[in-house]
Amino acid sequence: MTSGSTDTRASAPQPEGGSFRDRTARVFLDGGRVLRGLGPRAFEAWEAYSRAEFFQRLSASGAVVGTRCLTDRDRPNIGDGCVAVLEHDRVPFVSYPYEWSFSMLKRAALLQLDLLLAALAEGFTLKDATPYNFQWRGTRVQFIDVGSIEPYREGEPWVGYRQFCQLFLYPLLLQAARGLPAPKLLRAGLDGIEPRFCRSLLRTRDLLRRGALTHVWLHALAQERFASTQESSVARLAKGGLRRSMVERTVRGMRSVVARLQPRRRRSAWADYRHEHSYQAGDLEAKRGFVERFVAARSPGLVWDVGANTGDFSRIVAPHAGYTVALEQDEATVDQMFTELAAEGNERILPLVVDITDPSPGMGWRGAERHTLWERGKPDLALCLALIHHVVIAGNVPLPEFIDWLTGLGCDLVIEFVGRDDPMVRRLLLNKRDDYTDYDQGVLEACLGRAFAVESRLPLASGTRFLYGCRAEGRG
Amino acid sequence: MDRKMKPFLVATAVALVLAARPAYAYLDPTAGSVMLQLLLGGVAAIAVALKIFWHSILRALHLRTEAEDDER
Repeated sequence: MTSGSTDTRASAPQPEGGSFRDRTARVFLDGGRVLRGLGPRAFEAWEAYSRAEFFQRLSASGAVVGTRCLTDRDRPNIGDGCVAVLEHDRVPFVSYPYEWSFSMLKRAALLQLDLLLAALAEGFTLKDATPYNFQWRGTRVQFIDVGSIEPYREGEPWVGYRQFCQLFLYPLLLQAARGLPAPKLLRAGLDGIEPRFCRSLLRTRDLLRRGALTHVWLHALAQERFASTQESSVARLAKGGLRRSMVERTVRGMRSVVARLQPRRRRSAWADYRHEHSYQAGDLEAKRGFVERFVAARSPGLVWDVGANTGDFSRIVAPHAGYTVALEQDEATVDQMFTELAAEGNERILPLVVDITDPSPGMGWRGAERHTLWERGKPDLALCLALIHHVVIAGNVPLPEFIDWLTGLGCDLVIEFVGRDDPMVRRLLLNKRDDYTDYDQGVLEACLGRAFAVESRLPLASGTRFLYGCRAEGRG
Repeated sequence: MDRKMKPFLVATAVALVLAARPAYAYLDPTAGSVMLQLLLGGVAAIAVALKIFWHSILRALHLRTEAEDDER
């Protein structure tokens, strides 16, 4: 399951595009509500695990999404075959594993394993092991696919093992061993990385890493060896006498492997940006004050901090907003932001790895299984601070097109223009032919004037940077 | 990984290398992932692997049928 997108226009419950794989417990969106229709077998399972101690404990702690079984009176009609309907708490903003930093994916992986161990101890199991079953409340990860919990049948192996390897272990391992960013690897396909491809990406000496020989090399080999087998492997194991304790041992072993993984990083210029920017004394304070005043006056529900870097301005606006999504293209910087926010237990800022010049597309079946960034909830206010020169000069996006895209979001806007005399802009143009005639303060002001009401403007003392506070047409 | 499991692991790896066959259409990637768990579940799981392997040998030599295995 994924939780809902924020389209609240639907009049009748609509099937969620990403939940069709589980035919017995499909998710529907009903306005602002997230519902799950249960078939007879899924309902029987719910009746059992909803009374289990592990489920109640993890639900109370927030590790599992808040879920209620609706009574017949509250129950909307969501089609034939459903004998019961569950309602889940909404997630503030849906995100996907290819937008998470290393530490975020690792945290979800450990919760997946802890949840499975807790379930096994009480005679249950999880039929999936995918990071798409997790969402975030700020920096707190939450399991959302309760429909994947079912009673454990003796003799059954860990059915989600291959999925766990492909979607959790291999991206983490490849980032730890080779420095390949996990989000980029996961965006290549919704099923993750096959064992044989992971094996190809690792060097021989990487096989000495804990777990690499078994979970990658032998896994790839076993898939080749048994791929054309005519007999059910699950039945063979059950007949051979596989027991739950053996499955638990496998899961504990995997937990030990994942817990030790650390990202391999080179120094990130972006993560050091807060110490290396080109602001003069006093300018940064003036900028902070301008942004905070503009946002506080509006109390927006959802804020996007586009090009958030380490999230300094997300922190400034978060107390005045319902929820803040901090979008930053550099994975190392997002990981640093996440680690700092998680240490504080912050649940109001969600850091995501997103390059706004190449944002997350629709993916999967019909291109609708995973939604585009803006389909998951358009912001009420966007911050674009020290960003426009990267979009226009480094990203080659024409300035009017960038403003046009922002206009389409229908949100209020705080935008900073960085002039051509600024050292950061000069650095970007150092080895480029300057064809960027559109990168001009006059062009920006004309574009803003057509689409927004520019309510406040602040030139910073450096003389190279200008802030604009803009109200979208139609917003009060 | 337990020290006492390493010989089993190496022996199984060698067996898998020697037994690796070219892939064909209609392949099931889950089969190998399931069978590999016999290596990961500890000494008791290795014993299950040996039992399954032994039964396969008996069946290959026509000393036992699949139905007889099911009855046991």
